[in-house]
Amino acid sequence: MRYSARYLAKRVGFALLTIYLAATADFLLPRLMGGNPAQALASSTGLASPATVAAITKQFGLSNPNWGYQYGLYLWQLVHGNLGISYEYYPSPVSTILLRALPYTVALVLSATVISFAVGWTLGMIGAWRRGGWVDQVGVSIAFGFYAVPYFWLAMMLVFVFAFLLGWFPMGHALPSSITGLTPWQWIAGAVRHGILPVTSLVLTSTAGHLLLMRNNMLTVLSDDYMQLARAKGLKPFSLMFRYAARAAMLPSFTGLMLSLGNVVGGAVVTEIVFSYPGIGLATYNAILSHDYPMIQGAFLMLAVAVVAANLLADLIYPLLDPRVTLQ
Amino acid sequence: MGVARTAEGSERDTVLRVQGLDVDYLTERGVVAAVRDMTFSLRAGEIVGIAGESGCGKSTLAHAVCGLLHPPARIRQGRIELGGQDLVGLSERAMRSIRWERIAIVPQSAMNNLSPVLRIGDQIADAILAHRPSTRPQAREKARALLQMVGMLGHHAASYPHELSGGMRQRAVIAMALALHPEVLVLDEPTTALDVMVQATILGAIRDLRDQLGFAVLLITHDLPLLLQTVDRILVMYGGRLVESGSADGIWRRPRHPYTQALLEAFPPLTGPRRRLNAIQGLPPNLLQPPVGCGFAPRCPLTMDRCEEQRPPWTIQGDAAAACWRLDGEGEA
Ligand SMILES: Nc1ncnc2c1ncn2[C@@H]1O[C@H](COP(=O)(O)OP(=O)(O)OP(=O)(O)O)[C@@H](O)[C@H]1O
Ligand SMILES: [Mg+2]
Repeated sequence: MRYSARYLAKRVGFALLTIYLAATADFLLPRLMGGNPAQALASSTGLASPATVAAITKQFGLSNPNWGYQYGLYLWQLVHGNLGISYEYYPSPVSTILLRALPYTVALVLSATVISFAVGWTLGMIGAWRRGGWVDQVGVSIAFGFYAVPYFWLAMMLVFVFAFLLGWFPMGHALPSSITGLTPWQWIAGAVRHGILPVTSLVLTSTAGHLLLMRNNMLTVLSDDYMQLARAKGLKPFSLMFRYAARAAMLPSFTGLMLSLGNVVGGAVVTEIVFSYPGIGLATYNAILSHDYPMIQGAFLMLAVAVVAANLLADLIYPLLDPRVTLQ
Repeated sequence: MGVARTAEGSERDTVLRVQGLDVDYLTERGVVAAVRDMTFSLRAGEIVGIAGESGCGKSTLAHAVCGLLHPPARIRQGRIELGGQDLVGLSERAMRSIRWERIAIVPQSAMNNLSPVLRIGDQIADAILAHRPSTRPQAREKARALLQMVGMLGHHAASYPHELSGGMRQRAVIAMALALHPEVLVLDEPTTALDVMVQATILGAIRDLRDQLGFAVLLITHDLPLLLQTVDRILVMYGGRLVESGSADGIWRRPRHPYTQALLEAFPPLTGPRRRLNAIQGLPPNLLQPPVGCGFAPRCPLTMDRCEEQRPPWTIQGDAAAACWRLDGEGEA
């Protein structure tokens, strides 16, 4: 191991502090916006009797107007995994709703992220290696063609052509409408069929960025002096490209990958809307439309935790990849 | 050393022969005539030095000899024979098996030529594994032995380049270059960035290793006095061309070309009487428009009318030779 227990403790401590600050901001924001959510909820459900309002107020932990008290209660509930109760889906707990949406989002965005990085890195690497060759030219033009298309339009066109006109894929949702009686394989096949279009749409728009970064890093590395010595050693092209060039060229892209992985739990809002995909993005979008603060807070906090965790992981893995990083 | 120094080295001894070599860089601004009409040979176990100012084509020549030129560089004509085999026009694949196996290079600023993310020992092992059937642990073991051979410690094999000093990295690259017992070792300014003490130990180590292993060395530097102490024979380059060649002793005692004279005066000798230092006035020729006559004429204190108009002939005088009109008629042909 290159790092000490001290380094580890420091990174983890810092991550926890960041999460705590995010949670505090999460507590303050809706309160600073004002209004009484219990009142709003009660009137929207037509049950605006003072007794109901009082009951709901208590349930939301707002009966004591003292923010200090509310903050303590909030933190206490948080460490017990209680993110509060959704206004919109009252009385379902936010955590239940988020956890139901999470697997879909992770499956969707994670596979899209992994595929687009893999494709982008590979094309960027080969493109730079054979600069101006056909992989370079075709790869760059296709990637940038899709990058230039507005994402929303691209996603709609995919649905229109491949789902509506050709009928190859379902128009939306994550699973077949009736999943009872399906064998596990049918279930998986169904999920994959539903996932292909949204994943493709994400991959098409996001690959260009990864490709370009990798290509540029690779070109820089290839013109570095040490590549010339590696070549002078009579190494095979494969070894030159992977072991010497790509090994160093992927380092700057690695942090980008880790951050993208952290963002996975944030969902892909537009994708999930266009494909009616029941993930976190869609849930957050609906929560915002319906002023469902506990849901928004819950989704925000989950994203914060994931991003911080991904950062922590990047901090722990990076020194293993780049020996030049000194750890203090 | 016996084999190395015999002046009348026969044809058989010749490991490297460069003949009429021209190298261009095809740039947007035109053709850079980086190397012109370069002819020399290197005998087994011999140390030959190449001296010349910055930009005179030393590195270009070194890369050409190792088959490492790539666009925009182009070999216009000439032969580079390694053990009788012409390397010019050889396929990349054929070249790959010759590189390092038969001719190895320690490139200019070699200390920055190591991959920052691989251990020293592994970078040496990679060279061994590319050419020899061996396992990685065996190759690593060999790498440790090589590092010890150049005066480092075996455990330096586990270090990353940034953990070592410049001198150590330089040694590591030299160790790497010797991994496969090449016939020819090209050293491009191996000591330029190092302090004088380290310079001396590294050059000493190279001589010792040459005595042990018998490889031939092409040692490139702009520091002519340093060459005088290290090598058997010296080639002086100016503006891409050879202007003088001779034994180290001969050049020290009687430099024939005014440029060689100027080079000798431009550096303080490490030993011997103190002399006044003279930087060479003026600039080397623009290789985009190579001069018709002698390239040194505009800077030469002894210039004559025909110097700028006609290229001076290569005049051989015993062991030595130079291209200068002053020697015309004195030659032995
Ligand atoms: N990639 C290139 N493109 C165009 N011109 C080049 C290139 N590399 C070198 N040259 C030119 O070729 C000539 C010889 O360069 P080279 O690097 O061989 O000189 P050098 O003698 O090694 O100099 P130094 O002592 O500074 O290393 C110089 O005029 C240089 O400007
Ligand atoms: Mg050079």
